[in-house]
Amino acid sequence: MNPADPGRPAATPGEDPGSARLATETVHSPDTRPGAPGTTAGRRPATRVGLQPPSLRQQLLTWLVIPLALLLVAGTLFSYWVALRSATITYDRALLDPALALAEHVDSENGNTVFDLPKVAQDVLRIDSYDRIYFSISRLDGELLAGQPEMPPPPPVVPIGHRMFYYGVVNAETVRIAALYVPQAEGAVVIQVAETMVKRDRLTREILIGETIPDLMVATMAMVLVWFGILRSLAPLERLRGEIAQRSARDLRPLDGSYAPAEVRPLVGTLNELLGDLRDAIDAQQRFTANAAHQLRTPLAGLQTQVELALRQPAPEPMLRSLHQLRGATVRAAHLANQLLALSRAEPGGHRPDALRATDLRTVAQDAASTWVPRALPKDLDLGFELEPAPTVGDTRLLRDLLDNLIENAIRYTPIGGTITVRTAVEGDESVISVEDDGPGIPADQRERVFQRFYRVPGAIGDGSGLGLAIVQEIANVHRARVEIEDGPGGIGTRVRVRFARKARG
Amino acid sequence: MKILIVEDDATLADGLTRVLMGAELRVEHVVTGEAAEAAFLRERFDLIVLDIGLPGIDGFEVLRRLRKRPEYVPVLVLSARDAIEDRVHGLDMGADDYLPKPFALPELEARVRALLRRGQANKNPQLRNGPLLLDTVARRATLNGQAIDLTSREWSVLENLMLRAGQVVSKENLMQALSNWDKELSMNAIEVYMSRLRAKVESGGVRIRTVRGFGYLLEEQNEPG
Repeated sequence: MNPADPGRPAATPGEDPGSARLATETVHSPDTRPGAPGTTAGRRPATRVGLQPPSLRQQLLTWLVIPLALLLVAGTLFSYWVALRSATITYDRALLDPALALAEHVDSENGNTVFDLPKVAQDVLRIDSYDRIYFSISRLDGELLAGQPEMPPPPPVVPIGHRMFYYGVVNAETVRIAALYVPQAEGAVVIQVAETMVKRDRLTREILIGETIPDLMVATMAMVLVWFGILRSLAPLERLRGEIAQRSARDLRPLDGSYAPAEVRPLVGTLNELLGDLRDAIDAQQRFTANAAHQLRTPLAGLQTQVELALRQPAPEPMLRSLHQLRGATVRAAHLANQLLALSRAEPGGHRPDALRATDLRTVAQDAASTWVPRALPKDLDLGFELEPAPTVGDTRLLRDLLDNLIENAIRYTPIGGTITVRTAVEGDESVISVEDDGPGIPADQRERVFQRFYRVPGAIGDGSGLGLAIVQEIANVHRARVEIEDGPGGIGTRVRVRFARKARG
Repeated sequence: MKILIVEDDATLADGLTRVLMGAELRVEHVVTGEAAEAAFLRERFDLIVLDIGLPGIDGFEVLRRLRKRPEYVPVLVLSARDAIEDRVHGLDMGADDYLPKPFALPELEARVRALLRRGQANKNPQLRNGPLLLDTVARRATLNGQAIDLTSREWSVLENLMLRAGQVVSKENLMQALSNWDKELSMNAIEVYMSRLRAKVESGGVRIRTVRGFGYLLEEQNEPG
C-alpha cells in the first residue's frame, strides 16, 4: 500500500532508459496513487472504446452522409429519367419522319396496295451518320411489301393515333422502332422504321455523365465542407476536453469557457459552478484547519511554557521526573499537531494550486537556516549549507514544510557532534534540494516504507512521529517532484534528495 | 526596561509574564488589541511581545498602528497560524522577529534578549556576552576584564555578532555592515576577519560557530564566565 516509491528508478534495471524514466514519472506523478480522485482521468477513454456512444462527429457525419448519398442517387436517377424521356421523344419524332415519308409512297392500285419508291430513294432514307436504319412496309398479317426482311413483324393491332414506338431486335441488335399504320382500302399497312441505339446510348451516357459529375462534385464538396465545419465547431470542445484532462485533482480554478460556442457554454458554466462549490468546500476546510491550528497551538504553547517554567523551580525528584515526562509529551503533542497540519496542507485540497509560483529553493533554504541552526546547537551538530541558485515553480510555504521536515529528521537521528549539510543546486533540467547527515542511515529495505504515515524504522532512536517523510512525499507529489533516499557520502548516514522541475511541468 | 505582552490565552500569558519578569525587567500584560494600543500610547515600552490572533483588532492591526507612531519599539510577533505567511506578513508590517507557537522557552528568551539588546544599543553602550564586554561608545572591548585590541572591521563584525548573540548572522549581513565604509569586500575577506577575531576572543571562552556556507553564530552566554 505504499502510495509512491521514491528512489524507484534504481529498482528497474534492464529497462531501457526511456521506459525507466517513464516509469519513474508515472510512479511519482501525484495522480497515480490508488484511489486518488481523478486517478485515470487521462486514460479512461482508451479503455472504454466500443462501449461508448458514437462520437458527435461520427453521429453528425452519419446523419449527413447517408441522406446526402440517397438524395444524390435519387436526384441523379430522376434527372436522368427526365432527360432520357425527352431525348427519346425527340429521337422518336425524328424516327417517325422517314416513316411518314415512306407513307407518301404507299398507294392503292386495282385493289392492291403498292409501294412505289425507287431503290435509290429508299437507300437515301436509310442514311444516318451513327445508326443503322431499317424499314419495312407490311400488312397487318405480316406480309412484307417492301423493306428489309429482318425486321420483326409489326404488332397486329392498330394503336390509337396510328403510331407507336417500341424496342425490338434486328440482326441481334437492339433497335428502336417507329411504327406507322396507314389505312388502305385493302387493309392497314404498317410502316416500321428501326434504328440501332448508338445515338441514344450515347446521349444516355452523356446525360448520365453530365448529370452525375456535377452532383457528385457538389456532394463531395458539401461533405468536405461539413467535415471541416464539424472539426471547426468541435475544436472548442476538444480544447475544453484538453483543459480538463490536463488538470490535476487539485486544480479547481474555473474553466476558461470564453471560446466555447453558445451550445457548450451552459456546460462550462455548470462545470464552473461545481468547481466553485468544491472550492468553497475546500476554503471552508482550510479555514477550519487554520482555526484548529490556532486553537490547538495556543494552549500547547501555554502548556509547554508552564512546564518549562516549573522545571526551573526546585522540586522533589518524583515531581521533577513527572515534569520531564510532561515536557516530553507536550513537545511531542505540539510536534504532532504541526505535522498533521503540514500534512493536511499538502494533501489535495489542502492548498491552492495558484500558490505555485516561480521561486528558488535556495531562498527557502536560506530562510530555514536561522530557524534550524540554533536548534542544532544543543546536540553540537554542524549544520551547514551549500546553496546554489535552484529555481523552480512551487508553493514556498509547502517547500518550507518539506525542508523543515528533512532537517528536523536529520537533527533528530544524527548523533551528537554529527554533520548535516543542506544543498541546493541545478542538475540538468532539475533543481535539487538535498539534506544529508552522517547518522545511522536508513537500511535499503526500509527506504520505501519510511514514506508511509506513522511508519518508523524498527529500532530507531528518538521520538519522531513517523510523519516527516510522508509529508515530504505529499509535498513532492504536489510539485511533481521525486524523492530519493540513498546512503550519505562515503556510504555513511542518509541523503534525501528531492528533484524538482526547473520550470513548471506542462 | 519594560515589556508589553499582548496575549489573550491566560495560561500562556501567565507563563510568559513569569519567564520574562526579572530584576531588570517589568512586564505588563494586556488581553486585547485595543488595550495594547492604549498601553503603547500611554507609555514607552522597550519590547512588545504581540500575539496575532486577538479578540477585536488583531495583532497585525496593532502592529500597523504602532508603526505609525514616531518612536521605535521592537516587536516580537507570536502566532499560532501557519508559520510562513504570518512571518512574511508580520515582517513586512514591521515586526522585528517572529516566533511560531508553540515554542521552547530558551528560544523565546534568546529572541527577547536579542531584541532588547538591539533596542538598547542606542541607550546602553555596553554589550555583554559572557566574559566579553563591548563598550560601543568608548569603542573598547574587554575579555575577562582585559582589554583586547580590535581593528575597526573586526569591531564591526563582533558588534554585529553580539547584537544577535545566539542567532545566525549571514555573511551577507556582515558584508552589508562592513560595506558602509568598504565597498569592495569579498566573502573571503569576511573569513579572514573572522579567523583573526576568533584568535583574539576564543581563548577567553567565547565561541563563534561557523554555519557552513551561510554565516556565523556567537554562542550566547548569560553569566560572565
